[in-house]
Amino acid sequence: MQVWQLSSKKSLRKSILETLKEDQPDLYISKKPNILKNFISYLSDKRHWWTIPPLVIGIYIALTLINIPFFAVVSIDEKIADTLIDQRTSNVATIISMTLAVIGLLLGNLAIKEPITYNLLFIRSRVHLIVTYTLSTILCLILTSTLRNSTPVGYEYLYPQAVLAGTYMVISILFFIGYLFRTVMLFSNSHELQQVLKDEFFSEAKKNIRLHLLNKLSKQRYIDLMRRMEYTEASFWSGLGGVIIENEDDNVDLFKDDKLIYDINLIDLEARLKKCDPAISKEYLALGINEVSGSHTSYISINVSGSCVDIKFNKIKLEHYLVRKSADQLLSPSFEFAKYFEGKLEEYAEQGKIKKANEVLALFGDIYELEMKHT
Amino acid sequence: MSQPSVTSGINVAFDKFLRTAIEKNSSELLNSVLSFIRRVCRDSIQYRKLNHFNDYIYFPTRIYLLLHSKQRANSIAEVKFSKGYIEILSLHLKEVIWFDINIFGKNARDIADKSLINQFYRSAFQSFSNFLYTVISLNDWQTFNNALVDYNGLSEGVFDNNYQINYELKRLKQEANFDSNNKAVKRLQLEVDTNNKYQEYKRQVLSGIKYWLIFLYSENVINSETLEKTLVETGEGYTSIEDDSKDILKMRSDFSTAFDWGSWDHIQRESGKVYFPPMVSDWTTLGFLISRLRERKLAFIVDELSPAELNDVPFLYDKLASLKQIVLRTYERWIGIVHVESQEELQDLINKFILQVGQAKRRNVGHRETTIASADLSDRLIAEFQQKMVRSWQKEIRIRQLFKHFENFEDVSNEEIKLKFVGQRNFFEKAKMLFIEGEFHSEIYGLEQLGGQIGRNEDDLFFHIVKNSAPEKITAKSMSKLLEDGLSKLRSAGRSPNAIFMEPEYGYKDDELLNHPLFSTRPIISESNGVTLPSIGSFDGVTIFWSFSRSLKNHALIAEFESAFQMLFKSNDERFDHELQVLVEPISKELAAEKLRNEPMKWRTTDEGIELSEDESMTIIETSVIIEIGTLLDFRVIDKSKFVFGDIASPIAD
Repeated sequence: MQVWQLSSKKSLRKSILETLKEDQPDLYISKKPNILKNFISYLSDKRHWWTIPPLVIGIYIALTLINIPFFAVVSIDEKIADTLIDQRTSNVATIISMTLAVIGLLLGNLAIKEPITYNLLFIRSRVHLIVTYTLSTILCLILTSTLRNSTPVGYEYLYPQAVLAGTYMVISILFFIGYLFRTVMLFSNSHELQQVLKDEFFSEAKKNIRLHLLNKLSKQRYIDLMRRMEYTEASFWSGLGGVIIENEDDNVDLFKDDKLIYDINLIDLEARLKKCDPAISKEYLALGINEVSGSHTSYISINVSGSCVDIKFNKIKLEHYLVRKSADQLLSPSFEFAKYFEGKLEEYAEQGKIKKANEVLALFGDIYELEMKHT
Repeated sequence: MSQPSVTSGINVAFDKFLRTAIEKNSSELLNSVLSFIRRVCRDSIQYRKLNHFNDYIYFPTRIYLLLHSKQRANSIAEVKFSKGYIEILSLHLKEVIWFDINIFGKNARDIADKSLINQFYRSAFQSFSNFLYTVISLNDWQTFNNALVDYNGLSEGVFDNNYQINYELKRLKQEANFDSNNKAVKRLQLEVDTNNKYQEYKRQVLSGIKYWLIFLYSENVINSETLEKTLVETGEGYTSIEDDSKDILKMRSDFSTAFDWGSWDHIQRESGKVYFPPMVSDWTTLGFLISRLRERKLAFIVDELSPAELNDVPFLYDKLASLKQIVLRTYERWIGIVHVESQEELQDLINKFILQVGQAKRRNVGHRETTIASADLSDRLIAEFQQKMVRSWQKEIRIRQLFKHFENFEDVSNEEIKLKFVGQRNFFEKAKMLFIEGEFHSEIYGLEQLGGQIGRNEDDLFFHIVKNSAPEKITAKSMSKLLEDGLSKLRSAGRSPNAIFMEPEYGYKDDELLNHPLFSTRPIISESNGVTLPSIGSFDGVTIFWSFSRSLKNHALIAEFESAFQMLFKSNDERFDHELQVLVEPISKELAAEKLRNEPMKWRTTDEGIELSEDESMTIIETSVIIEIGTLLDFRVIDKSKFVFGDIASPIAD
């Protein structure tokens, strides 16, 4: 029996994340989940580029079909529409080329020319999203201008509406490009950029601490439950005997079965443990969430004497109470920004840049403090 | 699988930064280093994160080693740079203890938090200890002096000033009648101990350094001037005798966890070869002895310590006694250090000191003996002892088996006959520990022989009686001749002899007997009621039994056993309800007093030559026990004509 998902009542993972949010809110950047922001972030991700063109085309068609009274204030006849559509298309093309040229110029003047800052710039400015959006809009406009004479009979009134919708979309591009410029300008200011990097470093550290705490607290809760049920932790040596912790078959490839422990169902496990024969010897192996291990295949609670108690009944297959995923889905801490600053510290020391080195050291001190405070 | 901590990379990067700062002789960078370390230390104390604290607190040694290698540099600027920073390392460490721990420890209220703060103190003191050790290893006496000035500047820990609570503890102890299990006393004692940790660490680190220096001198690593100077600098004479006495016992037994002393070494060891650094218990004891003599603190006060803490005292005494020989042999090296004129004076001092330790040892033993003396005898252990005795007795009874076999024994319970007591009633010195339960219970091996001895003595009694009953005696040249004569004599008189007794040696040594046509290795009567009888074989149809009895030496007894002898016993004697009686009795006060009166010299002084009070001697006597073990029986010769007792003219060689 494989469990894929736990209801939020039974999920230890969710329960811990909730307690964390409540008890240590400063580990989280924003307290409330922002759906719009998350959606934009999702779209901004390089890997999700293919979702944008259909979305834009969808919006375009929607704007065309739904005759929004507010937009319909402007009245366009077919003739003007012909001129407009051509102009808008070339307008957008010009804007795009100009924008790219300016961005190129600004990128050349980036305050800190490091792979990490380029990377950060691309993410922060949402350049992928904006470029794809613009290109998709051009696609829509070109299609409209090409199909101007092929409007199905009886639907001619849609054509001016489409042109109007295209115009509004072109206007929205201007705002996006404004945003893009603003971000790029920010990145040409070294002081500002440093601050951005520091912020990123902090949020990276916070994320790592959250991961650490998720593992630590879940393990703690698991052990607490076991202690409450009067189980003792199996030592390495008792495990070696093969009596307490048993695998289904004897020839186990130690690492073959390694799985990521994604979630634990402590509630059902506790209920099951309560049903156990109290007389048998009780041992368990400690485990926690976000941990790759082979102990998920083990059993808890096997009686040592083995003669009088039915072993089968008392074997509790742990995997029934775990949500497991493949080992490559492990969330590992990332040290991208930490490594950047560590490298910087060395560099500043070499170059004798004392003030800058002190800044980095102060930052490290803050990270230490953050860690000490929360772990 | 543990994931790397958020700060693990920073630690590595910081180490590189530190190295660069020193390489570049940049005092600005090094200042940043120090202020960063101080910040992390401070934060870790505030948030009580000992692991982070331990990552950084060893900075003096870490930085010192890097800086010290610069001292040999050519550039004056470099030397100056490194000197300047070496000087302030110990000051920084002092400040961590003095400001940081003291300030953030102040808000600790409960014992758990205080113990945690004490662990920070401990790490910091260990760092100081390591630093001093490293400085000594590099013969950097100026830095040593400098660091000691800082060290001695440390005065109070945050939990000091407990006059109130000490007073309270004393009062409680008196109220509880010095019962060490009293809960309130225990709780307060724990608090006092926790509060005293700072001073304890501070004292022990300094003693460790002092003893190490003395050890280095004894190994010829440093000369006497250096030793004299450094010992003065460590500030001698400030510690109390009680504390020092307590510390040395701790140092000797608890060395693995103490201030990393176990890894201290004075010789550059070849890599790849197994070696052991000097034993902590050895060099600390030497240092302790010499510094005691030097400061003329010849007392050894351990009144406040629990018996468990005093366990090491006998070993300390032995070690000191052997060190005494070494020190006296090389007395020229020590008279200057100890400030005496001659070997005799040195010997005098050492003897005085060792006598003091001996008295403490006595006190330790005294505790053990008082416990033993006052403990009740355990019925369970006595019963066990009795069973053991009976088992070993049963292995050795031979004659008794035969009487049982031939059934020629008589219960004389209702007759006015006095039987003989075969056995012993002994005063066993210090044997009471065998019969008490608890931590001082101890086995004494070889005691079970007592039971076997009784069995043999029964045989002896029998043959003694037979021999002295004026029996008919015959003499022959050899055993086989004797048997031929004796048997024919009895048979011609109409008797039917059925038992011959001789020493077991004849069963394998006397070739003449063994090769005799009438001799057979197969006995006629070999067992009785499942018990194998002690037999060599048979001669002319008569079983030959053997016995270890001395009365049988070069003799033989030929008899019609059941009608010649009789065994008498009583089944209703109140003390002898078993066949073998084993009694264990404690020593009464009267008996102890009598013993003391009879042998005052034996009981009034110990092996260490320490005189005991009358009470103490009585206690020692009371650790003894009286064991009575024996059987009550007698043998009787019924018919002298039914046996002959033979002499052998030319006995076989032993």
